[in-house]
Amino acid sequence: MTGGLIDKLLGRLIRRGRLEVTYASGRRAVYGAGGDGAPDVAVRFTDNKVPRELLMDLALGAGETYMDGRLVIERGDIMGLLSLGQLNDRWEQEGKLIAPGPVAQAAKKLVFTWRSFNKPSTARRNVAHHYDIGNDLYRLMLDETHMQYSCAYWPREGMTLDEAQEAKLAHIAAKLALEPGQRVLDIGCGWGGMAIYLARKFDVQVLGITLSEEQIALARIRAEEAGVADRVRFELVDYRQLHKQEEPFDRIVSVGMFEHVGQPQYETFFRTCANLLKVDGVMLLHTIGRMGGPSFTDAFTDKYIFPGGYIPALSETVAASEKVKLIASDVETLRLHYAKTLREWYARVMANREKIVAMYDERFFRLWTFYLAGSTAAFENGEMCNYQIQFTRDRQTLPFTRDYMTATETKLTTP
Amino acid sequence: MWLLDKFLRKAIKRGRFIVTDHDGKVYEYGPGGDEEMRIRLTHPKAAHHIASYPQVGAGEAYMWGWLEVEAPHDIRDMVLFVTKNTKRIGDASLQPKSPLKKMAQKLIAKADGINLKGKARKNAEHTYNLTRRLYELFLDEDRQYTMGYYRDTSNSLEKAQLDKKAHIAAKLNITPENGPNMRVLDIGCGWGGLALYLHRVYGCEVLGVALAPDQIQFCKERAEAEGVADKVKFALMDYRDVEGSFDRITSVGLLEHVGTPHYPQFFEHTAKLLKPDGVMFSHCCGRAGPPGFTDAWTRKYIFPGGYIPALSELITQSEKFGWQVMDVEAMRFHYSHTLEEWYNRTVMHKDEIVELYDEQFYRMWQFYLAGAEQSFRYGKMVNWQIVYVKDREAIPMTRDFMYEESERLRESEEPPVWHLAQAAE
Repeated sequence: MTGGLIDKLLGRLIRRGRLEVTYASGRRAVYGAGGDGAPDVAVRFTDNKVPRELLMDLALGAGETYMDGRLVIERGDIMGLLSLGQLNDRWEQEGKLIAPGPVAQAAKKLVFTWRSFNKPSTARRNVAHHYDIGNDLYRLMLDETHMQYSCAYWPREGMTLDEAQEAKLAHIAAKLALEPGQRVLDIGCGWGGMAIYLARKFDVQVLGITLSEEQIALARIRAEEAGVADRVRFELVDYRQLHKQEEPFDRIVSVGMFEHVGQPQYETFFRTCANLLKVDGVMLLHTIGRMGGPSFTDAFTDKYIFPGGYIPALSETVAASEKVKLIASDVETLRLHYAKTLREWYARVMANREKIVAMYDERFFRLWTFYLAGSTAAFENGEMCNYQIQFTRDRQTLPFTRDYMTATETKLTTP
Repeated sequence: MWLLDKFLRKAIKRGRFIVTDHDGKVYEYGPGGDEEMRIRLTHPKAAHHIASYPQVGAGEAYMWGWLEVEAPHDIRDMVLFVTKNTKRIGDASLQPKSPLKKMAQKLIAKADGINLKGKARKNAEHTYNLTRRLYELFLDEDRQYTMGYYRDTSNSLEKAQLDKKAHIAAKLNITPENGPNMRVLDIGCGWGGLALYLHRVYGCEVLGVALAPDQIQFCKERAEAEGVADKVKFALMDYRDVEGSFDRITSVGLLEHVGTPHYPQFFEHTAKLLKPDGVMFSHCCGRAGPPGFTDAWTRKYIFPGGYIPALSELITQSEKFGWQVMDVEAMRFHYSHTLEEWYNRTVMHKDEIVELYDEQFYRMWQFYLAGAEQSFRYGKMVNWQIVYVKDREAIPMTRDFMYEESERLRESEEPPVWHLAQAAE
């Protein structure tokens, strides 16, 4: 029965590209005509429970059955499969693909869980728990120069990942309007890439904080190597505890951390930031965002990638920041930049398949590639984007035009 | 006097504020210093009225001639002096504190924000059907009745308004090459300046709609005079009645009048009107803090039905209708410079304005401009410039196109000279 239902659904859904499915019974079905440049992928279900699991929750079902080797890709790869799905359910075309009717209810649910499959971000807590995921995996996947585990910035064609990550750092630094002698706080500093970059390029002192011991250890080594250890500190501390030990900062930057805060904590987050920021301070928040209204995290991501994480809508973010009088002085939505970044990471992971499987196992490799591919699809055709929000506490703080941003960025990126 | 006395004692922390009551008694406030401000209350009820109705009292007292500001200062100086002391817009320190009163005010403000089509027109007429002559007297040569973009505070109002149009045009992602194939809808077209500008720089076809008959009449005359009436059209209609499909939609200084209860309609209807790969740009006054409500003065005398939105209020609604917010620029202080110049031009034409209307109207206008200026200077008012798309691929990957185009447009044209500049000197 579920075989019949999924058959109908796929028949309706796949309008671009081509999907070939071999069911456990041996029956083969082809959805979509293909030949239009969209992915052409063939999969096989090894048992007859797979369709039901997909129908229950598409993201979780697909992720688990793929991970377990019960959904096998026979032509193409997981990137192709997930891109194909999302391409046929472009967020922009919401509500136009599914005709009303008895199947529509199930279809709506299917599409909804598909759509709400989000994002990359630190797969730290849960994955680390199960796999003892270390810095090595990230070294294989991320850019070498800055080890940035967040969206890069691609202003030109033909950039390398390393160049695009450096361009991102420059883009953010320009929005911080830094002055010599300032103290900067980096909330969620990762392996220290941002903190080190700021200290190298500007006469500032940076405190980077994270909750990961592995990150701190490597960040400290990298700061030594970069010769900025005298102006960059890294500490293992929760941002909510920081006011006990630190004076307010001139600047706060937070990249790829807000996704982990969770909606119930938004007001606490912004209140804490406002209190950690001087009255004439500037804060730059860089976070994955959802383009629609408030929603929830898909089951796969919640279970395997980031438990407790949530990708914010812009409305709920600024509704929380307004309450503590942080003024959203500038908002930029980066679209497709993350998809380009993820495709680079995916390529590096694929290129290092042997090593990663040796470090972990096949199942982990499939989990990881599923996560990267699903995230890519979400940024290309799903609901995901990336917000850069600049906040001030006083309207006088920054110049009255954006010229300073472009001027600083040009200076930083011109060799 | 005791209630006003109590308020002023608390409020005036800088400079010196001297009040001569109607009976000749003199009250002094503040620690002294460089700034000294003297006012006279000419009516026995003045002090009581100001203190009892904090939001409208001072404005009305000034309008009715119950409150006079002594030379060399004027009402603008007084408003800026008092608000600089309180450092907040009139709805905080100058507000009644009781929760009940606050709630009542909120309710009234809410009910007032409901704009049925007929009422929307009446409200627009209330503000704008003041004759075109009035606006000619205090606005710039292009009659932009919204914030100018002061890249340099020493720029003329004409330059600031031209730079504003260039800045807006640049965010629309139109080029001189694809412009002639585009249709643009300008909702709340005012005196037609933006519509004519977009056609002039891009060759696009523009439809401007507004609810003030004299504005539309004037817009049509301008299009005729410029020989572009076949490409730049204007219609007296509610945007909710506009049909068809457009490549670009602009609305500048409109959402303030739409009112929060109608944001869903606005975003729903504009989403219907815009092509899938289109761009919508909206520019409106905004409050930097959380949602609030319109002060009684503005509601009663200036913009009935108006409301200045917090960013979250706009985006909460736009998200529901599939709009993707691409870019938000909070324009700070540009409006206070603009309002200062409008005030100066108003005062320059005092005699004629009094002749057109009366002394009371002139004073109301002064108080309105001064009050608005203080809210952008010391209060929490900003302007939101928001770029929306329906498809993430509708605009380039980076903002570079905006910067480059804004600069190109700014340099491509000299600002006009205000035809009343000579006469005023």
